[in-house]
Amino acid sequence: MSNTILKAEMLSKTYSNGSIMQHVLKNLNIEIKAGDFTVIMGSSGSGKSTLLYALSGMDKPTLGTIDFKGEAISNYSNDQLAVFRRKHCGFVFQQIYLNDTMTVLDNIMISGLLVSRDKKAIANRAKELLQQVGLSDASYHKYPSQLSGGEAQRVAIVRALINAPEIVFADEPTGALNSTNAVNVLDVMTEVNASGQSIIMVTHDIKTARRANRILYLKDGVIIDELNLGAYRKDDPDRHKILREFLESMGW
Amino acid sequence: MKIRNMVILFTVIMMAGYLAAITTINASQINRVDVTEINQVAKTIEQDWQAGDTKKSGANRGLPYQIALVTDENYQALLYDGIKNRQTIIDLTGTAADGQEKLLGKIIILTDGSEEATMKRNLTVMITLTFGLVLIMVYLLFGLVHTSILRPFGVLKEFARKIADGDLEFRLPMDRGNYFGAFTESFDLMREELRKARQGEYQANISKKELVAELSHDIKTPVATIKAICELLEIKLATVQAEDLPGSTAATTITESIAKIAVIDAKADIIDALISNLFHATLEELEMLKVNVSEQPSTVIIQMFKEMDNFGKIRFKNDLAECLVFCDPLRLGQVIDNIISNSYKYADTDIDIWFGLDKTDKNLTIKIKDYGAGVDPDECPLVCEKFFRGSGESIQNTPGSGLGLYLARQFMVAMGGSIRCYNEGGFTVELGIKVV
Amino acid sequence: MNILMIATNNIKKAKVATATLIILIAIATIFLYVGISVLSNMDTFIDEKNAETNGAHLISITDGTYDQEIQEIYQSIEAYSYSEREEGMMSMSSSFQNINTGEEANSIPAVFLNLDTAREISQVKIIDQAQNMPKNGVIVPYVLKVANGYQTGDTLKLTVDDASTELEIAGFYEDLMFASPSNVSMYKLFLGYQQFQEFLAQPEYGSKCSYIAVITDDIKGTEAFESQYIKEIKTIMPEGTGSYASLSYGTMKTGVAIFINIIMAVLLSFSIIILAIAAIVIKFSTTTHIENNIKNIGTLEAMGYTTRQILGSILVEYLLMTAVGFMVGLGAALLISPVITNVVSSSIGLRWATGLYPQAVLASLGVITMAVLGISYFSAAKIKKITPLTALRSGIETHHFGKNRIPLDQTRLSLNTAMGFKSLIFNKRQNLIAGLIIMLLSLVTVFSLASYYNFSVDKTAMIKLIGLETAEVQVTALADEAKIFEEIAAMPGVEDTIRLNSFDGMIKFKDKESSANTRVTADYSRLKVNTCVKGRMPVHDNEIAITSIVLDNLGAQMGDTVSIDYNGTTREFLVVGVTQQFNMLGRGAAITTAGMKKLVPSYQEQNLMIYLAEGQDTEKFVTKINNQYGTDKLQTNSYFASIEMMLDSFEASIKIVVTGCLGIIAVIIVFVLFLVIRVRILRERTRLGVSKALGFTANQLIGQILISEMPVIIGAAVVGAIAGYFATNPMLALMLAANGILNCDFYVAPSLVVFTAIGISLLGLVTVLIVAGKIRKISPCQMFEEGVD
Repeated sequence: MSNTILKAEMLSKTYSNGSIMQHVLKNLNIEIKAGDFTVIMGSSGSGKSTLLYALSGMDKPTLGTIDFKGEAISNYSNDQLAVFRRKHCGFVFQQIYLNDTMTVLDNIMISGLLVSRDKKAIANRAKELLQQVGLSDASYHKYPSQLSGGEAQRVAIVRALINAPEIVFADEPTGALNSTNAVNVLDVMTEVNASGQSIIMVTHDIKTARRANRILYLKDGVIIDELNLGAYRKDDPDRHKILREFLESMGW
Repeated sequence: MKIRNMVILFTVIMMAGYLAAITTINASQINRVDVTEINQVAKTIEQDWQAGDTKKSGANRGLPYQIALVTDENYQALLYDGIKNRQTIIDLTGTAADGQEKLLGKIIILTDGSEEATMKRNLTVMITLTFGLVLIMVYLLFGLVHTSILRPFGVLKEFARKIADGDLEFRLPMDRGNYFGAFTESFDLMREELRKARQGEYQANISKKELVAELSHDIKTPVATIKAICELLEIKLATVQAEDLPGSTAATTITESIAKIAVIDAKADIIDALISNLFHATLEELEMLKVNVSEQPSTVIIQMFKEMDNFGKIRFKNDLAECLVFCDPLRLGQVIDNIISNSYKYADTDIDIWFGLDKTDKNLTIKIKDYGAGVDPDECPLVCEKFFRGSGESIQNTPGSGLGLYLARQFMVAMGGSIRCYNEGGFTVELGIKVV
Repeated sequence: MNILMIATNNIKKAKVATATLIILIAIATIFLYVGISVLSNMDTFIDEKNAETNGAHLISITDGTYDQEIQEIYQSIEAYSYSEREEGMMSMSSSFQNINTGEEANSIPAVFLNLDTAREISQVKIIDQAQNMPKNGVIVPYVLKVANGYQTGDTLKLTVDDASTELEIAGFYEDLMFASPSNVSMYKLFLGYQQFQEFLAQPEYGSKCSYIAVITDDIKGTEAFESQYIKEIKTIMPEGTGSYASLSYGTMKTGVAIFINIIMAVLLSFSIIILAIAAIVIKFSTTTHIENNIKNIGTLEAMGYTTRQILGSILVEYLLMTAVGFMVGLGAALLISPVITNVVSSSIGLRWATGLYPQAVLASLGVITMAVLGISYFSAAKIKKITPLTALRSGIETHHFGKNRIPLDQTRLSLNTAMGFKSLIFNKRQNLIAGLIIMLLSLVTVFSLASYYNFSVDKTAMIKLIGLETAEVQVTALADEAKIFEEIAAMPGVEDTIRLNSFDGMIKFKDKESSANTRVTADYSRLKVNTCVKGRMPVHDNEIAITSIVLDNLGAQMGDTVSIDYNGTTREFLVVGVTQQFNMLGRGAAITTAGMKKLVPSYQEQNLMIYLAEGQDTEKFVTKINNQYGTDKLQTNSYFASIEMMLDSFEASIKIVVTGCLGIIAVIIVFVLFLVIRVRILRERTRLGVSKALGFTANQLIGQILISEMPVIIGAAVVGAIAGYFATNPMLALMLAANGILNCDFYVAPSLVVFTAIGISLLGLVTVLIVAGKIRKISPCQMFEEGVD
């Protein structure tokens, strides 16, 4: 149990719209271990994104507790949560959400400077990471609108990694990309995971889910089942089959 | 910058320059004499003259002058000389002995030819400025042509090469303000359309696959039923063939019939079950108040106790685990109301509450305990029965209907929960609520 | 109607911008309507007021020795109709103090008349009449009621040198001629018969005089009538003796309205400034509207709407706002009409009634509608160029390929500062607009504060503008002037004395002529107030300096030679300078004593301006001189005090105008900043949400907005305030150009500039903080909830 980094107990999230209460998450219990590549799947409206944002401290759960390395972040104030996120979480969004008015490097620096003041070190780390995800020197001073979707998303991944967070949260990172770009981005994420980075990702896509070593299936706000796939290897037909069967049994 | 704006700007600058030049020319009053200054000089000379300083030439306030007295022999000559040279001539008056003013002569103020030089210099400056301005504008125009037309051409060339290489992600940088921009825009539009076409093809493929997967999944259930019946028939037929009348057609028919009857029987069973369900449902509805079970946050329970805590006697002994539970807030409230009211009525001591959460059984327990006399151990199992009331004297003397705990049990059961009553140093009620 | 539907929909979507615009239009309407209605009705109002009481067309006050001759002069002038003469008492060194209001004593000459005399001309209609006329009852000008707060029953203490008596105010009268001390520094007071006779019997209160009121055939020609009278009277009376005053209706009418005209001109220019701000807001919101709704516009076009119709809908939208704003403004103008009535009445000294003037309503509506529609048409006209295709294909894409001015890996700034500056650069257009508005308002603030300061606190500059000397005491000697003046100069407490006279001169140039109040003194460099704006003051006997109004009338310029006609003697003078003055309607001239002697060889200066040393009591000094020489040799009055008192009457008006302007400036600043920042927060919602997700706290984001807005606000406030420091005087001169003022010398205290800059910056800071507080409410998840999952 020592390597559990994030633990949610009896997590519930309720949205009330006037008198109608909608329970999006119901008494969820989740444990995320260091180095896990967890994928949350489920049909539309099953609460996967809500779960992701609740776990990442972006949204406060209605009920239940979330422990991050023994600290109950569910009791944090908004500002405390912001500080928690900048130190311990990285985010990758479907719509990428890079700041259009700033260069690639500045976009990454924004996040880095929130935690450290050492500009040199951050800039170097940013360049190193950009190199790792396959972006050349020439791209550092480009603006997001000058990049392709895949390139932009890889920049976003670097932004998420810049502070060496314990967990990277990804909300359908390949949702808005074409297949070539999606594979590129997934390769980067798999690589990052292989180097020990924990990732929690929400996806619809089976090809994306295949990269995970653990799949949680969410239905009506409840985790109805979980599949352990083990570490990802390329060109593993069995892996795809197991996942496919699991999903089919879930009624996917 | 658009050509139109450019033209306007140029026109404005040129007009302004022109106007400035005209104004300068009109305003330069080189050949006009400063009358005030002349008056000042004349008056000073008059004063000096009066004081006895009869110098006939000199300079005052930078203006050289010469005096021609009426009494001078060459008065006329000096005067006309001055007029010939366009010099300023003004009267020199003095006070005569009788106090009257009288004309003494003329003051001729000598001017040099510096005005012409000034005028020439001014003209040179103005012409230089004008030519400089025109030159700058021409350069600007050339620069504009270069940046707005020649350079974009280069970019377009690069773009065409990329498209040819199949890189459809490469965006054509464009500037709509530019005339050329509209042209490059249509090129970019072409690239965009190409990219979209490629993407559309990809999407169509995906959705086709999804449809096939979905249909296969839906057909599973009816097929399973058909399969089951097939299996059954197979087995039946096999047994009949093995035991009775091998080869007899009648026997075969009988066996087949039996099998079909079995099917009908099974189906009848289902119908029966359905009807009985329906029946039960109606009955329950007749017998008890309706319970609307919904998912509720457990925190509502605390609220219910707080609402009942009219005497400040309720004490929470531990924290309630936050979770979602199945309950009807209205009915659960009534249950708690009944239990607490009983305690107030029969025990009237402090009431302690414990919460417990069993995660594996998915059960939330609420233990409500008072420190009164409790209930007769023999009667304990009966407290939840309809119209049951304790036999003790004090109980009999207290008004009550004997329905409180009965209803509590009905409600709890309807919510999928439980209720348990026992003595433990006082009367204790344990509610079990189902966790989602 | 479809266009109307689109328009109302647009209005609903942009509530804040709509509200701002409506408020701006309403404020502009208030100013414009009030300005126009007062300016356009003033003329008829005064004429009607005068007709009500059959007001005099000309009044002359003389010592009574030449009554017969004066009557003959009148009758000799063609336009003469009829006249009335009555007995009066002239008190040159009188001062008044209202005991009940606790004000300080005002030194002002007064002419006392008998209330019970029957008169046809300038009939007295008493306002707020006392139940019973007390024995010591006095009827005072209406201006004292509105400007100074006098009430019937108040006790008015009259002091003439040592003698003093108490009068009771029994009512107020309106008379254009003596409407306001700003016009004629003299009170006309009506006393009961008994009290009047008592005064006449006591020479220490003043001397008997003849008060003659004349009605002419042509009310428009009163000024010509007056100049003819003056010309004639000089032949029978030597300059400076016997005649106290002559006032003509025309001069008084212009004079009475002059200050209210200035105030209204200020209001009008303020409304133009507000319209300019409204124009900026319209331009800004139209552009934003088009950018944000480019797809909707494309859809509408695709559906078959013509660009003309869409443009129409935008125009209808602004037309609706204009209509609402105008109605609100008009309502507000009517609501505050008591204030306006007070401002106008106290400035003109006549009872003004504010009403609904259809022409003024139409004129202001016209101006505002034209302005709003014009601007909105031009800023929305670019819709015409948008084809449905470009519109639908996501419209005007924004590419930002500019140079990265603050690379985060190299900058020395802290993260939040750097981010703030980045968005400052990115939002340069909005910032420019907000900056421009704030700059303009900051300038106006300095201008109004400076005006207030110079009108109310330190009046030296104002007095200089009026063109009067700042001498405390004025003495007119009737005999022995040389000896007396030397003695006075040597008195302790006297800092300086200057002999300064003035007379009504007739100046001619070619075939034009103009009258001018001509000042005479030996050495102009000794005067404390220099009214020269161009050239220099006269030094030699053949030199003259003239105000620009007179020069314009004559068509003369500096360097030309004009001539002065005096009792048949004509002398030529060279114009060596241009002066300015506000009094005598800007008609003035200045010659030297030597020059005057050319006109009148026997001329003697009888007027002495006495400047007292710091801390000397003027009243005591006046009494001392009167005791020493007696009133038959000398007439003395507290000169400066009477000027100050005349200025006091507009102090109230100026105060109201300045306070109103400052309040409105504050409202506009708050609204503009509110608009700019709210639009920005709405537009950048996603970016702010992502920033929060990345771990920025709400405070950091608010800090960034502060950093990105404050430099603009502070910069604009400082630049505007500094511009105000330099522009106040030229602006004032421009506004007063009609009165012949070429340049002003108002004192703009540096502390005022600093105060304005700091005040506006603080106001901006508070507004930004409050509006930016909205960021706290944006949850990082809000943007994800829509659409996804």
